[in-house]
Amino acid sequence: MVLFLIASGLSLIFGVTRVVNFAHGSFYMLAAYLAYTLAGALPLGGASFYVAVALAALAVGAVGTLVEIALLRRVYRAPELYQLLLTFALVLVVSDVVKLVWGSENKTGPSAPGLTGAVRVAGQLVPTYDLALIALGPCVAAALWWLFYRTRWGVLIRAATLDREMVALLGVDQARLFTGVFALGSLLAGLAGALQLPRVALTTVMDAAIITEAFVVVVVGGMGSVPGALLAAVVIGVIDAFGVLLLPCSSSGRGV
Amino acid sequence: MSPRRTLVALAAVVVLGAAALGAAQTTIRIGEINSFSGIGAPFTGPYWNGVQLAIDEVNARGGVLGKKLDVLKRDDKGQPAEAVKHAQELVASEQVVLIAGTFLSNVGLAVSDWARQNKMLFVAAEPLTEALTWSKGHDHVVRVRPNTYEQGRMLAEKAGKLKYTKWATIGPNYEYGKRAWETFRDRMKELKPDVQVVEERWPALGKIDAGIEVGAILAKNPEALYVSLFGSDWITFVREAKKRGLFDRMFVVGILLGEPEYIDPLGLEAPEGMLVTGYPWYDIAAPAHKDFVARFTKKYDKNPVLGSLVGYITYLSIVDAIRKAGSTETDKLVAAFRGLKVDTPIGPISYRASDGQSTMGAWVGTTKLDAKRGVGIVVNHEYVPGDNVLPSDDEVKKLRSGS
Repeated sequence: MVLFLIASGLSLIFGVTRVVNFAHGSFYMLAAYLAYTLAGALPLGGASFYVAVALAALAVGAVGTLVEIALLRRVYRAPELYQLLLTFALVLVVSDVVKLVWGSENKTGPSAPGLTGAVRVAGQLVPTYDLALIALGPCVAAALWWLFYRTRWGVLIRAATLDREMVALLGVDQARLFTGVFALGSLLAGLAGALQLPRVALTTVMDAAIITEAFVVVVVGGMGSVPGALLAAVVIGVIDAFGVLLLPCSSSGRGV
Repeated sequence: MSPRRTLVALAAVVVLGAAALGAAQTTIRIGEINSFSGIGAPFTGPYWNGVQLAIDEVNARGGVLGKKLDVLKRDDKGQPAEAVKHAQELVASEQVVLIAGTFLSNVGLAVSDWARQNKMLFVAAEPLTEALTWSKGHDHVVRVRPNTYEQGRMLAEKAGKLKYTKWATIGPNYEYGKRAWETFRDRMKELKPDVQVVEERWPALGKIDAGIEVGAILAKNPEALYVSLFGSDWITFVREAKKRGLFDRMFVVGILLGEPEYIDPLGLEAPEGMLVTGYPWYDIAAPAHKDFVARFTKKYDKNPVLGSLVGYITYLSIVDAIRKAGSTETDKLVAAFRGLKVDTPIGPISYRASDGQSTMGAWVGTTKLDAKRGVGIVVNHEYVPGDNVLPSDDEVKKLRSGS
């Protein structure tokens, strides 16, 4: 489900703006680290984890908006290579910022209060947090569906995905549309990152690790299609799980 | 270009070249290549602190052979090809006298091979695969840390006395993970012939899918588990394993997992009762070590971890070798390292003439939570010197003759 969140954001951004956003993984990582700090710093007891997740996602959404307004807007007219270079440069910048602010040691995030146990499902202990995430996926998908099919903004997004020039010709403010899409996309990536806090170690290479998988899901699901991203995330997740289970030796892709 | 510009450019090159040469003549340059980013970072950051401490102390006392030491640092990003590229550049353009460092075993093997071909000395600090000094060993490589064979045997000696016969293992799918398991498994089978391996899991380094791995291990119902994961893989594994109750169902042995860089990030979630090799810096009584901890803490405002100790010992060894050789020529350095004795904060170690492996040992103990410190610590620990678990010179000759 985390894969769906990040892939849908990526797909959305590409579908509307035609920008391949390499920095998506960086937003994911940034949100994870922000949530880690906030969860430790907020004096709200049990709720601080959830508040931290929400705040981190919103903060990264804001960062995405700033990035779009300040940087990406200037290169929309330029050849795609420049847009790629820009997002790639962002990857490097965010990576170094994270290293600078949080250090390069691995960090372990807090467990989600109230979801630390496990329940027996078909004889296996499944962590309740994982179940919560599985439940969250369709909720987010439903929320996105409502956004795209029941709001005017959603209509514009769908139209822009189909035919960007026509939408511009019809008088829609492209700049605001793009900013909105980028904000939503980065918010989704941020949410994905923050939600990973109880599940994985925080490392300075999280961005590289997730971006490949996210791109695979987006390409398989169709660039620009959020339902496609959902289906692809599920299919790829299941295939990945079975693959790892049946083949105990996973290739690392490096020269051993 | 106009003739004037050409002249100016030429002059600049000559001046810069002279300056570089001049610098090389008044300092001794050492190339340090390591995985400063990526999965090694929790180890190599503190390692670099240890290196700098050693260098600053040596330079403060006047350096070596009347010259100051200058360490050039390069990041190999965990890639063998990148490390070799840096080695080449450091030797060709920066006139370093030797290459030191590396972290991952596959990177260490690549640099060692490069060193063999280019006749430069490679002082391997951390790569643990025994192949580095045995099946792929040669004259131009020495290694500081106790290797996979040594640590595997140290752990097997203790684990072999316990009642567990059904074992599983999980480790990163590359050189280090495999070797770390093999020695342990082979020694266990010698000590307890009824040992059977019910499951082996080899997730990609840095990319573990912990939920599935834990499930696969639990499905086979082992009595005990040997873990050679480290860093972020280990943290992710502990998270998932705790949620699924793995640590309640089997005894766990972890190579390297008692080291502060791998156990501290877990805080109070560190599993207790694990048999590990580690570095209980808080508990080592030797005055030289206490002094080391004090100097390190004063300079960096944090405690040393094993990486710091390794960095410090590596460069102490390099300095001692240069002194013993009386020169920085590779042949003399290679000869100096044979049988070199170095006084370290944990006592004297020596570099064996047969394979270049130092006799630095490791602490074997059991993990326990320390509520006051907020982290897991190693208790009931025993320092096992390298000599106790290294094979004799005859056996080493046989192991190396294959290369």
